[in-house]
Amino acid sequence: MLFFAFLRIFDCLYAIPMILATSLVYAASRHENTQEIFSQGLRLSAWLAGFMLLGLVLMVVIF
Amino acid sequence: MERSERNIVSNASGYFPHPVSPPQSAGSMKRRAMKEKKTDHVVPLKNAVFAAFLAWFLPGLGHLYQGRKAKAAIYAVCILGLFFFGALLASGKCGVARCVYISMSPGPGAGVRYYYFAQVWAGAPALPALVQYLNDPTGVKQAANGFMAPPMQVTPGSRGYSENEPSIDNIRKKLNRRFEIGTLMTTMAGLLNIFAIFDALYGPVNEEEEERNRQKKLEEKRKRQRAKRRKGEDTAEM
Repeated sequence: MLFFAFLRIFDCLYAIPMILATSLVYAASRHENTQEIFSQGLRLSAWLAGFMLLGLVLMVVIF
Repeated sequence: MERSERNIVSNASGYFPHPVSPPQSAGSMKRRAMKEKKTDHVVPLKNAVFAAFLAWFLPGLGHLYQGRKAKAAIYAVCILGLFFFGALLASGKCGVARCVYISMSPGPGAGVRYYYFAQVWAGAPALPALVQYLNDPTGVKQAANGFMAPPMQVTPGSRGYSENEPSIDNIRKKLNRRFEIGTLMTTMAGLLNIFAIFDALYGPVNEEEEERNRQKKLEEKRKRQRAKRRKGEDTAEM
């Protein structure tokens, strides 16, 4: 059971392209300079990933 | 010099009569500067409305038209990549890109598909679903191997129902969670393209701040060069 639960964690990998695309497009709509777009995009993606990870941990702890 | 001659000024593109505006107050000059600041973009937007249409039609195309190649590449890779990846995830034996379709029949069966209102913002990649819907709203024909076609409007237990029919239940059963993830990705791609459309229409949000930073950096660079030159002169004098 735990093994299958562990396997389902790999479904979270689908979130990576979504996080990257969202943060880069958002950053691109704020800046014109490519360097600034990438720096803000990566920062934002780290925030999003961290926030989602926190949610996952909380859910694992609660349920 | 006569008054009429005084009112003729030269222009960079040539000489033509141009009335000299009367002296303005500080307030009106400030208002004018503010107005100019609002309309003048550092980024050349060309025909912004046409660029916005292109940005909707194919993500990145509007920015390519405006000559903003790097941003065009970012938008195209992120939005189109997300859309096609999602569509690919929701593909299988039951058809291709089954998560992008239009269904407007309330009640049992496929139901009303609200996701398409977000997916359509991705532009041309989502338009085959509209063609399929106009061609066959009930999904009986399933043309082009069911590519973005609406699911067949049958429910388990209804007359003529079989396990192999591309009804929404069977599609969900076959694709499992990939259907949901594909739906989410294609929907997000459509919504993200709205950012790109507004960017093509009005330019980046932090344009003024970016310009200020650029000016600041340039000023700092000039200051450093000046200091360096002064230092060099001092050592030469010694």
